[in-house]
Amino acid sequence: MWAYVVRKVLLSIPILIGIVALTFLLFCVIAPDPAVVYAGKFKSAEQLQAIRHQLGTDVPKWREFVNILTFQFAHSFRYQESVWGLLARKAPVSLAIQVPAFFIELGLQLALALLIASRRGTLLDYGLTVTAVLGMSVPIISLYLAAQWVFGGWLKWFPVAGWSQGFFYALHFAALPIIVSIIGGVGGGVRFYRTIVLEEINADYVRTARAKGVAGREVLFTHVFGNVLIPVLTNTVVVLPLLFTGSLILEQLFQIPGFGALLVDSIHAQDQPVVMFIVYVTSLIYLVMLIVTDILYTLVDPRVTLK
Amino acid sequence: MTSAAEITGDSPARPSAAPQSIGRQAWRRLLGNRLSLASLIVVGIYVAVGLFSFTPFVVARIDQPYSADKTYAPPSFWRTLDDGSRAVAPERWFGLDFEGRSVFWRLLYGTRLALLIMVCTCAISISIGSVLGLLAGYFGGWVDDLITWLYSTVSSIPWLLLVIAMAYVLQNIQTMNAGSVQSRIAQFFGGSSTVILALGLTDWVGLCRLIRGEVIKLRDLDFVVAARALGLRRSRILFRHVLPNTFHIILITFSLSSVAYVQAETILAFLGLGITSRPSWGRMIDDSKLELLRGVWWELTAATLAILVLSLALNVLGDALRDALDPKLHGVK
Amino acid sequence: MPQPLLELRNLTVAFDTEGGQIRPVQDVSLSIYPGQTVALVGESGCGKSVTALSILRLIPSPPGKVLGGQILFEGKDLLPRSEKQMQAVRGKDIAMIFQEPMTSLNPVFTVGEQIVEAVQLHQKVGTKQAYEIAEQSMHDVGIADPHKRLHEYPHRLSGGMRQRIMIAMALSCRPKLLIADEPTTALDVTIQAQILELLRELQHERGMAVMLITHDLGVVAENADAVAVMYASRVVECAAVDDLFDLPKHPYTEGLFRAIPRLGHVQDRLQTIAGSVPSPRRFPSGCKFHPRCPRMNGDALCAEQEPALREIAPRHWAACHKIEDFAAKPITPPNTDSRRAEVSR
Repeated sequence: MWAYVVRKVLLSIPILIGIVALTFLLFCVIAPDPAVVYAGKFKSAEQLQAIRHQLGTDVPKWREFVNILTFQFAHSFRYQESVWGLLARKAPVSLAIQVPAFFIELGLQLALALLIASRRGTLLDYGLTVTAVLGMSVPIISLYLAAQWVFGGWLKWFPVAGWSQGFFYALHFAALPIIVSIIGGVGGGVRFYRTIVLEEINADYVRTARAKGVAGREVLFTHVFGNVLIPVLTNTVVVLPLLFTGSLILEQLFQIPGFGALLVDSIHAQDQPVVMFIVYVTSLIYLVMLIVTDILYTLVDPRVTLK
Repeated sequence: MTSAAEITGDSPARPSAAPQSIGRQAWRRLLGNRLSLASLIVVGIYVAVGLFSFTPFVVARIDQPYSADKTYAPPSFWRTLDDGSRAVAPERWFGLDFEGRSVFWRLLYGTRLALLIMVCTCAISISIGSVLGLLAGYFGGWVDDLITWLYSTVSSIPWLLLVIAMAYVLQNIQTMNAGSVQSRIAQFFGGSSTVILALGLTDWVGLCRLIRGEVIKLRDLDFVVAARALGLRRSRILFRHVLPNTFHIILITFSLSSVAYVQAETILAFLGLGITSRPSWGRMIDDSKLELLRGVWWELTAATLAILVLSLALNVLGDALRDALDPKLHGVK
Repeated sequence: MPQPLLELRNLTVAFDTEGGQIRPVQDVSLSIYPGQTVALVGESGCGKSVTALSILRLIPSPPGKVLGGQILFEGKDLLPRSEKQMQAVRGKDIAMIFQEPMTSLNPVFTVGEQIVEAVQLHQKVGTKQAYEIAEQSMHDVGIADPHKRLHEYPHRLSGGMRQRIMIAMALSCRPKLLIADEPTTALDVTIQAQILELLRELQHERGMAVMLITHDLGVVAENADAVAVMYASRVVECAAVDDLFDLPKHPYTEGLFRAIPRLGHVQDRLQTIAGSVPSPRRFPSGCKFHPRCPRMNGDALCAEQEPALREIAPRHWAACHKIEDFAAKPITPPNTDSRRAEVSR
């Protein structure tokens, strides 16, 4: 197995280099001079050079590239703070919303999918499926805006936007984004998992289990679930790195000072180190997650072996 | 009733119909299902509305204020004229936005932009995806390795990040070369060229993978081997024999991706990277952000409904296409 | 005469489909006695699998339902029983094995776990003891080194082995009746023979009754005591195996036998039954076989009235209006050799 892991890691390196190169190209090469952006157009040449030195952009481009690859990031242009420091400050905020939302959403999706699939053809099946399809077709911004308005503006259960420190205050502010995120994301997953569960329910081994005398519910939760786990795994592990950036939209909408908001602001502000950092780290985690998924496959599906 | 004397050893129970091409069969299946027929009609209506919005009649009305004090007004069927009588006022059917502009006409114009985005973005992403997929699948070797590396790279960056990055870069390029050569084209696209390029250049990976997989399967099939044995030029084999066998994938992708592009436009608009000069649905939704707190719900509702209905129709159509074009699925529901 | 172990009386099953209701099983009656092997024979689509599945109520219930009749097991009707009571019957009194051993086992559990599940459902034993029973079952079905094999996953075993596992699983609780739905159709010919022999042995050892569903007359010849022939949702002929093979009375059965090519018998063309099996959506009126029947001769009775299954000879039933007319002169002359010996392999 370790041979496999090593091989996969080696294969991922060119991809990682490609990612960094692509992002570097987009942000640091085809971009206006950050010194000009931050200082204004009308400074003199020496002042600009001084600013460049302060920002750290007075090194040749290839040097900058190599630095980034080796995790030597410059300080954020805007905050004049180490990117790692920013991470430590902002990531917990994003995670505080994304992690609960993710798990609640997944649990809800699976539960609903199993429920719908076992009541095939009934009104419940039909109704929930239609709702899920509707949920998928509504533009997510509208859903978020509507939910924000309903729960925050109309019912006034939660504050419409904002954030604060301290555990219980944070909970208060986090509730609405979490709810809204779940509402937006549940639909697609339910439909997807429903299809998978239905495929498994009609499988021959389910017929065999029933012929042995296994009760209906048991069939679902023991036999079917084990086989459903495989696609569930694919879907979920791969999404994990995105938790980090939080939902970019969500954080903009609710004015949450998380990592996602940082990314969007940094792009607008041409804060190159931060942008490079976020993209690099996110992609790195993604690639690692892919390898982890492969390994997890072998645990969940006995038919799979790593070559 | 047939008698024993009439039955000979060979006659089948039913005469067989003339064989139909897959395309025609699929078309019939598509039309036979009422739901997919309805979706097709809905999409047709949108296309008609979109085309209508190219006319100056519509374009003139999108920025015109319709209320006396240039503020919003709720939807109504009529408007009152100076002499107190009422006239039918289509511009008020969806109300007026915060600058007194007609949501109705802006919505119609938004249809044009949406269609433009859908078609052009699909054109770009499908072209890139299918060509790369074709080359990677057919030639294998270093070509495949290179293309695989390329799409693995692009797909490892979370898509939204990539699109935002792309959109921003394109804006930079535009401001850096602000020439008027592109201005007429820009007018046609209503400022949507950034969005189209940003989406099109980043969303080709899915299709590329699918086509590559399909081409790998097709490459070893007898008809391709026969074509090679006959000495046909590789480009001919690729474009005349292999590619048409991937059309079903392309068609389904077209339908389902369109939905994603319309939705992506709303996200880009929300993040400030969308279309700024002309009203798009995404921009209308973004504008309504501030309106909601004042109780102005009609702009959000109108734009949302427009997108919702179109997305539903395209989703249903995409599913129906998948069912109709995939021969293995028949008999299974 | 002892009481039948399983008796189907006028069983009718319907399915609600998009195009209307279809009835793949109509008015089916047959009996199986303890220790007996009854073969249910017919072409694909004649309703034999649906019949078997409905005995254990394994038909998916929204589209399918039992319209009428009785399923008597040891004298008591199974149809009014609750789902929980049926679960107690399945695997314990009546067990079933299926056609596709490749997909009939759950790929994420070991074969041991799956047999143990069956054991623990019906017997109050601890896990360790359950594994011992499972191992013994595997040994009984001829699997070498069962102790190691317990912990294998199904995909590591061959088709023949998997079918043995299925049999071990089905027999682990010593059922009185085993329903085998085309157990060997998906296997190689040599494996087929082994599996069938295994079934015969186990049956003799345990005095178990078997309902063997098949379309292969050779299998019937070697394994069955009695045969019921089904066509288009109905039983058209039912008799002891020797009687059926010596002198089939129903024109469909006759046609089936005629169609079998025989060694040493020179033929230019294979004999077929003209026409094809009707789909349940479009069953012919009257006798369902009449459009293809060589005996019909334009008789309106055959086209209008469904013939009932009648005992036309001692313990030999057939459903045909024209039995008596043709009883004296069968369509093809019987061979001097026993047809049964010819057909079996």
